[in-house]
Amino acid sequence: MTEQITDKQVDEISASFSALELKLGSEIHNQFNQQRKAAFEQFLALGLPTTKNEEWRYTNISPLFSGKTNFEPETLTANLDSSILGEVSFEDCKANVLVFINGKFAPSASSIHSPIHEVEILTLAQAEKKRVGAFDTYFGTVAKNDINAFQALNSAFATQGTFIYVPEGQTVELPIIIHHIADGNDAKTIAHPRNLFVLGKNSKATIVQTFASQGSNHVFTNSLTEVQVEEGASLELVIFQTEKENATQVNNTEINQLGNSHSNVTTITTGGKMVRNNLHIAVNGEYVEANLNGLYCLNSNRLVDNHTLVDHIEPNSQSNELYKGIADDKGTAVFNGKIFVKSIAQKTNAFQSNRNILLSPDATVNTKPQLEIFADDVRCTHGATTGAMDEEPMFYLRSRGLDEKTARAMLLHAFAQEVVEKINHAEIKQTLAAKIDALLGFESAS
Amino acid sequence: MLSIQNLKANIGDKEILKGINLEIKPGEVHAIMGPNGSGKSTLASVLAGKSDYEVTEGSVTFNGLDLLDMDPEIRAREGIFLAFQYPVEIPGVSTTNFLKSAINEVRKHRGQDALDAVSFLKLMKEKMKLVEISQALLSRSLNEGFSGGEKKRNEVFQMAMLEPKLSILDETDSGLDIDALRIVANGVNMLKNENNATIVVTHYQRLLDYIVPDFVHVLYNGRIVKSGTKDLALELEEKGYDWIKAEADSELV
Repeated sequence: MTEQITDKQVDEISASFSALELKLGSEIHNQFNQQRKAAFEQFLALGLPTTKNEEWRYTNISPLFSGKTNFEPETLTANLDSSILGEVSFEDCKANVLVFINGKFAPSASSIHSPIHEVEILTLAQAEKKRVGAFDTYFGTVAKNDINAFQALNSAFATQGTFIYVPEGQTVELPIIIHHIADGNDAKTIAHPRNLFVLGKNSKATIVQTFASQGSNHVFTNSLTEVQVEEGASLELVIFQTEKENATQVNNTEINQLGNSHSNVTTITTGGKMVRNNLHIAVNGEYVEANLNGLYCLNSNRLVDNHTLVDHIEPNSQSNELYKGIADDKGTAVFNGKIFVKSIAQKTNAFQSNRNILLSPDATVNTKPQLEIFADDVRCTHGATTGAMDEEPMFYLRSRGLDEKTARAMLLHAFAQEVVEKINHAEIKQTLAAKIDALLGFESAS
Repeated sequence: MLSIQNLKANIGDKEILKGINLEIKPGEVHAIMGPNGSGKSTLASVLAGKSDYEVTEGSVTFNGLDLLDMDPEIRAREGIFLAFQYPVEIPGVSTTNFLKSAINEVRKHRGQDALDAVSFLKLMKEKMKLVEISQALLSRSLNEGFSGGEKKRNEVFQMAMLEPKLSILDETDSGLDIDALRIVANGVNMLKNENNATIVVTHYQRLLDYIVPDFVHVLYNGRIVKSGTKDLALELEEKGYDWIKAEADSELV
């Protein structure tokens, strides 16, 4: 079902991998690095998915790997274009901020404010060196490399990223915002951010990851984030993807939730030439609540593909999923929402809804709810709609004096706002709401 | 104020309005009655500019301007208001929010200054009393979960805020109990003056006890087949529509 990579590509990628191994030298045997070789082998075995693979049916990634591709770019001293951080910043919000350029940490643009007893925020390299217990325990445990070639690729090549550890019982007061800037000013690049977030028992944290790009050369970001949510912990995760048309992204987020924990994951995609999000939440405990919210706005001939999987492994838990999309011009959106309910997962409540608006006749939405339920005492619903904007509300607003453009922007704002409202953190929510309103051409009356 | 000349309109291939003639002067209340399927709501929708209908013949002049040439929002800004029979629900858009934008568009069109937040709120509070509608209801998503009476009161509230020259009430009484009817009618009556006009589209005579018409027209098969005073409405109440239908059909033979 997947294609073996061409010999030429194998040679190139292997050469890059060897170069990396050489660079790591004696460090190759530490926790972080020892899994690389196996991951690389797994990547070669899995190969790159083609559109014949059901999971990649609408998302053709082979152009990414055609031509000379450097899988381990030299550490470029990239400078940030002056406006780039403005695109993703949360100005009114006091927060811990980390900036990565092409996957490399930029300390000068970053600042940590939260006290160390509340949360440890380190780069992976620092975490490994410092021998943080949680790092050793959880790194490489939440994500499995044998299913997804991109995860395997990340495990093989990733050298930098963020490690966040919230000790038991701690609430991190300030959000942690991680900006990933893909820089295509000098050359075609690939970045492999790798993150591990561990929320100890009964802890609470808000984490935001943004993705933006600069320059005109093609940039590909293959990111893998593992999140371990211990018993009773509460995670708010916001992913904001606003890259330009020179950027492609595969974003893998793997979350393992233990009993009585709560997660609220909101993915907002307003940019990027092609974005593929793989969000996987393992409900590995009872009385868990998992919320997955997504909003994607696309135009031109962009593609946004959200593949989600909620795996109800244990009974008595709940998941709620709301993904909404606005597709314009020749944009293509893909949604595949899987819900698995294991046979012992009785009393599972799983709700899924996908709503799409097509603003042009050439825009396309492919939506597929996929429920595999093996328990018999459950409540699972799914619904997907795709259509043009409803004419009745448009006429109503116009009959009150609003012109077509204003009425449309108002209705699109209302449509998108339902997802943005799901974000708990007030300032993060307001900032993102404003960015989306600007995109949709909506001006609030007040 | 409004002059409708030989108006014919289709929906798809079906001709609904088959030549309507109507003159409305400022200060007048005209009732349009008729059996189901006669074209009452179609007439209201065509005047408001709903694109489902295609005007095939005739003209409509509003204060000297060609109404049919105007987009719905321009008609609204010129002073036409349609109170919908089935007001649509719009989740995520509150009455307060959209109305503020709408009012300022109308004011801009009329060469008036936009209302700031404080003035707008003041105007709202004043008009809310007219139809006994609460601020809470106005801050919620438009018509979402509103009862029939609340929806209709919201329509009249908007009418009060926008101060139209010509109001078209499309079966405003449908689905209302006596109390709601009284409140809505009272609101409409309070807004009447010698400079504006009202078209009341209704199936039943009941509403006309409260909103007393100067003229009553009976619409049947896409044409106005009879016009009279409010006594005509009482006659219809008593005798039903059959005699009108018979009269009209015999004239065609």
